[in-house]
Amino acid sequence: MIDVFVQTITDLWQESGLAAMQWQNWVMIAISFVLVYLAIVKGFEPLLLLPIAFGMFLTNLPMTEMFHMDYFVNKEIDFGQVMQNGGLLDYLYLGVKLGIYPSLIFLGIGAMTDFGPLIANPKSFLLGAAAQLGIFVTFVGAVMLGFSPEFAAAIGIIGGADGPTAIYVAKSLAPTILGSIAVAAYSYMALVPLIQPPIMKLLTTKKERMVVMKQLRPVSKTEKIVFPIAVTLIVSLIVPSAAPLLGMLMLGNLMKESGMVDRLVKTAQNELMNIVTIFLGVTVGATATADYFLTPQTLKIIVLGLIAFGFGTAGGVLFGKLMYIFTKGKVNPLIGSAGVSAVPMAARVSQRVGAEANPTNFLLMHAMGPNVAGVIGSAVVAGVLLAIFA
Amino acid sequence: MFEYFADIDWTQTWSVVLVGLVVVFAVLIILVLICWAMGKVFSAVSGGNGDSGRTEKKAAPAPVVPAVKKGTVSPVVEDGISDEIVAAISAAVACMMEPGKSFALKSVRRAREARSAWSAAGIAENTRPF
Repeated sequence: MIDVFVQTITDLWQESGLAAMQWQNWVMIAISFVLVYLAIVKGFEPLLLLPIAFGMFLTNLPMTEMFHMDYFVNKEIDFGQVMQNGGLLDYLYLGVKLGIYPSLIFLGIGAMTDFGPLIANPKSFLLGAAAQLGIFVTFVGAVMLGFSPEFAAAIGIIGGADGPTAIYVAKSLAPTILGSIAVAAYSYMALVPLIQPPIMKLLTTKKERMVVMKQLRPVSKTEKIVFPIAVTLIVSLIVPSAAPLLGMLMLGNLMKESGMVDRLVKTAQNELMNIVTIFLGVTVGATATADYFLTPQTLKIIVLGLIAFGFGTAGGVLFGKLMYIFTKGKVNPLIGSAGVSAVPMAARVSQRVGAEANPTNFLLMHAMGPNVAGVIGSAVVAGVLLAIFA
Repeated sequence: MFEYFADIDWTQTWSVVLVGLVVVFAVLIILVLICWAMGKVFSAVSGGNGDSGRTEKKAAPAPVVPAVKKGTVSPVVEDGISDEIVAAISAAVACMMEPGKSFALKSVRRAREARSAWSAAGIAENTRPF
């Protein structure tokens, strides 16, 4: 009787997660708690960081068999393994691996975005392009640090300051470091108000920061309807691999601007976006298993991510200075920093830094142009990188 | 150290950078041109109201300025500004001038501000959280 009891307890212990816990698991769980703290207490991108952190927590609990990174490390998915031995997060992760979630997130973003400021001032597109400099500087930096070109491209895209785009590229080019890339991208996006202002102030004079820009022209409804169709057509023809992201972004926007499908727009903006955000967050977090996350690579990715954001900001501001010179002082260079996507945080930072120099200045709407141009720009760069490496 | 960097495929690295920058700028420049052309077309289709408005505005502040002789100054006053306001402005200017210095009020017109004080206050209120 006693022997059977002891044997059963011993078996239970050996099959429990506690017996299988290693120090790496404890470290990863501690990191996930730090991220939970940052999301809840500090409010760092909580909508995504909280599910990411909990996904990280779940995946590092041994014996739960919820997620198996090994099924997804190759370019081809091992569907047989996933279907026969997969756990809940394996099934949900298919949405990331097949590129479904980032595209659906873009649908929701499109349904929430007003491209009016960009259409009213098309030159903003150039600022959105210049702010992609961070991606390429980081790409070179990552290559120099010993990453393969595919991994370097996935790390560089952090500079696009666009979570879904970063995930979309990383799931194809560098699935084993997807977790690190997502954590770096979303953490730095939350830190945009701290990272950008010193760079913006360093690269501009007070006179430049004080520039009051001319009020934007009103944009007609027809222009707003033609815009998403034209962008989809042009970008998809030139860079077809960017079509899933940009096509969905522009579909969402067209639905919004048409004014005819309010129910669909509300669903895309709210229910669909929220559901996909939960799935995306928790599964991306699940990729951060101890084996793949607790490596020197992760530290390098964190540093490179900061470089990416810094150079992206600098690229936008410096191009803004060029526009300031060529327009004889009509463009405030501060709006250039908003070219690093991170909608609408980066535009708010331009507004805030501009208002510090001139409290009567309102740059928000002017900065929204480069801000949404940055989304298009980073999607185009993602398409180029996928076309080259995937 | 040099060997480490020599092992890197610099040709591929720089070609990726070059291709990426060229393509993103090319695509976005095309979009700039399309948006610019779209703006021109739609403003032309909408009847060119904006243009006629602009020409009216340009025409308005060009009234024939009468030849001003010393001592007999008659300021050009924009429509809708009463004589009392002109007198008050003259008095305010006189107060701010150095004593003993003469001045001539040549014209009085409304300052063209982008937005009114109330509108500016409203925007400040709405954008405060940012």
